[in-house]
Amino acid sequence: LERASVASEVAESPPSAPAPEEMPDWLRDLGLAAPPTEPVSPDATAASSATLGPLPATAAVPADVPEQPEVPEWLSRLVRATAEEATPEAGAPAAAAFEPTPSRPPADTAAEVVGPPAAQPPAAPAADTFEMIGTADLAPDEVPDWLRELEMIQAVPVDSVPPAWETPSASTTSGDIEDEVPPWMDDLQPLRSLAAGSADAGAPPSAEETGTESPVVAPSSEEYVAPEWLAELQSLVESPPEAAPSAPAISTGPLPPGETTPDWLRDLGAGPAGSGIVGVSGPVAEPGQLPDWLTQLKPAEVDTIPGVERIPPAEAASTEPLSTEEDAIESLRARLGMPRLPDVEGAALIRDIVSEPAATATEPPPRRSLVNTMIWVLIVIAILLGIAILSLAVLSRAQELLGGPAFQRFLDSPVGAGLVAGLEAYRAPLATLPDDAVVLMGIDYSPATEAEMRPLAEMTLRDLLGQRARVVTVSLRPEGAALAHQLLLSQADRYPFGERTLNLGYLPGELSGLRSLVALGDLPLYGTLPTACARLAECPAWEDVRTLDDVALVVEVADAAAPVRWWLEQLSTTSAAARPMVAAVSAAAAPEVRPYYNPAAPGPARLQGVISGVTGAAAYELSLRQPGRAVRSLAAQSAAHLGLVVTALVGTFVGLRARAVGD
Amino acid sequence: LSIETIVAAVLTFMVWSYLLGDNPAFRVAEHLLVGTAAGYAAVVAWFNVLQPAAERALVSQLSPLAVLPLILCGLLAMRVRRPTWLNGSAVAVAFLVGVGSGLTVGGALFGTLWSQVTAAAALSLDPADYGDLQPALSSPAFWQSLAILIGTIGAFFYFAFNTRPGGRLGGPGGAFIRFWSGVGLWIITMALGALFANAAMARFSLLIGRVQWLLDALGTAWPPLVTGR
Repeated sequence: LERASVASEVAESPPSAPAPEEMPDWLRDLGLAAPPTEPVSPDATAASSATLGPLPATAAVPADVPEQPEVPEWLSRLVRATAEEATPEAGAPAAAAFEPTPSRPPADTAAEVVGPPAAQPPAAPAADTFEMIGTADLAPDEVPDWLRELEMIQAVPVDSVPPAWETPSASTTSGDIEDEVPPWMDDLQPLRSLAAGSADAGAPPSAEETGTESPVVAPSSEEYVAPEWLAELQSLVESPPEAAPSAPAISTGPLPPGETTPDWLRDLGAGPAGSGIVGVSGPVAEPGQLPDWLTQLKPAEVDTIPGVERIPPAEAASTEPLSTEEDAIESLRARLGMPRLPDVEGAALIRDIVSEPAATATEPPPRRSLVNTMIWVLIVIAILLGIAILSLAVLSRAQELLGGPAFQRFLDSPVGAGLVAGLEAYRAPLATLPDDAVVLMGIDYSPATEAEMRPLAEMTLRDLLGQRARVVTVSLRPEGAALAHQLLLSQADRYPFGERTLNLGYLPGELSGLRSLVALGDLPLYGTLPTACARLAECPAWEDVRTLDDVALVVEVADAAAPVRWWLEQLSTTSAAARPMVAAVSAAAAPEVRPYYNPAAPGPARLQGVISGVTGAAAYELSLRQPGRAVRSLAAQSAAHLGLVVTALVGTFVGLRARAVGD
Repeated sequence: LSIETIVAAVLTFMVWSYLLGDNPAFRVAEHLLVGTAAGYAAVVAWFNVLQPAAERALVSQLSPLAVLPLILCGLLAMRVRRPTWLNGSAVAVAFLVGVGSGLTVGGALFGTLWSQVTAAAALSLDPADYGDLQPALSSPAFWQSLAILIGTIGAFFYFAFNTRPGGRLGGPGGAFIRFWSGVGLWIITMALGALFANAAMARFSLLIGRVQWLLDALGTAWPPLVTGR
């Protein structure tokens, strides 16, 4: 396209006729410049055309071009030899071929230049010329690249050499051409060769192309076709690289019989074949409007990217209905010319997620009716009752094997000495209480853990009341107040509530609530008392209790370790730090409470006794000879123990076997 | 068989119905438990805490110091809806945070850390403290003290993650730490195992106690069900 544009511009401009005085000195010294008035014979013109080809319009070197003394000697010999070898008729034209001849009208030239195709290549003169050049006299290093190229061209048949008119500019060196030609145009070399062989008649070079209005007679078809190497040589000799470029013009003339205007020429804006004017003044194709044949020849750059797959045009142009969104995306990508990128990390996952069909809203399961719900509840109740009834026989038998008697034997054995020692340590501070001693008892468990904690609290309360102590309960949990009240009321038949037992209820604030125990006598009471007293110190038989110092023992009953720690930490920084403290805790909290247990060295923040769980309560009941809920549940507790042990062993065996199999 | 017992038994079965999956019966019992617990806590807080404190501050012991808690309660209520120009709730919150932090830190330092350090330091492995060598070796207290000492040292070394001794004795020092760290790992593992086993048994105790209560209740209503006769 650039070539066509330049050609049109140059063709429209009148060719310049360089004066003889514009000939460079070095060329004049070589004797190439001939008097312009000397007649030129057609044979000489033919010889010059066959040897050096048509001269470009810019062959005339401007006057201001500096002298070029660095013309090599071999080039001078070449020119000289060419001039001498030419026939007497051709000798002068051969020299004149380097000289512009502006006397020839362009119309005649245009009509005559369009010659036959290069079916009869005038290769012989060129070959002779190369032989005369001879590189044997030159050292290998002195041989320029372009000369090597010329030698290679010589070895190639002329048919395969693209015609000179295809060069972008006659004044442009081959090196410049190579620099300007994009890489993708390199792939067009076969096409150019093909075009030179088949369609050379469509656009042969002419004097008009070169801008030279030669007065010579129209050359014959044999004289017309000149190899490119010769044109390049001529341009190298006569025009420096900075010379103004000349564009080849597309000749206008009748096409030979059987020849038609090629499609690419028609796409460039030329008229139909035989219209006479082709491309000289016709519309010039825009740079962005590449003809189809050129577009198809352009190599796809994305194809050279490894891993990038180009969608074939057939697939891109498919008009089949799109089945999925992915097909639509692929089609759109093909139409836009976007390459199909290779799958990268995560892309496949995202594509899968996107391509997944939209999840339809799941219908909520049908709601069960109230009747069905009640039926299910009744079924569950029936099943549980059946299990309970069937297990009665087993439980009665298990009671004998694992119940109270068995546990008593366990306590009497050396294995149970530790449990007995712990119980004795727990009971030691209680047993040493003086009469009417005030015991502060914390009830910090919830109804959820009452089954485990109630036996512990009940046995402790019985023991305390049996020691003639006065018990005041308090709770750090709201529900603990009611549980403590129930606990005290359970002993109300022997120890009426309000006489030896009182309930302070709920102490808000946890840690800060414990600090309020310093003013113990001022705290309000929980529950309805037979006597009208709102505070502890106002109740009869309790007037001596004013502060925490009046407390002889602290007993904490808790289902967690945190309340026990709160009691220990806060009491250790008060005046009641030296007061002994014991704790009855859940089995789950026992490991966390044990570090505070130190019966050998009582002191602040130390527990002098700890009992835990159902086993501790059962031992307490058996120690007081008052079997109760704890002893009754020992059989089930022991059975659960056995079940857990068996489960743990089986699980361990299965796990080890699975590991062995895996290894 | 009272109505309370019947209601309690039915609610127990409703909770156990969760064994068959989530169902409306379980949800009803769950909501009842949460609702009654919250209502009971509110009632207890009012009648057992707020009302006596208000009466004491406004009637019986009218003094600025007794009114201060009420003022703080009013300021704390401003967190719900307060004027833009007043942020009085910050005062109450600061009071609560300050008192809570002081009590917690003080109690942890003097009630737990110091007491545990002194208790560990008081452990004795001297046979003279147990009478003689033979009584010491046969005394459970001796072995208990030894186990506590080894467990404490091992647990400490297990958490010495960034200790990498250098110098000439760097190699033996590293081996020493690795050995005691392994001992500490076993001690911690056994402690966690004991915690898990005790927790499991505690939950079994709760189940056993509930079944026992049901049997007692049913035995009261139908003695042959329990006695078998």
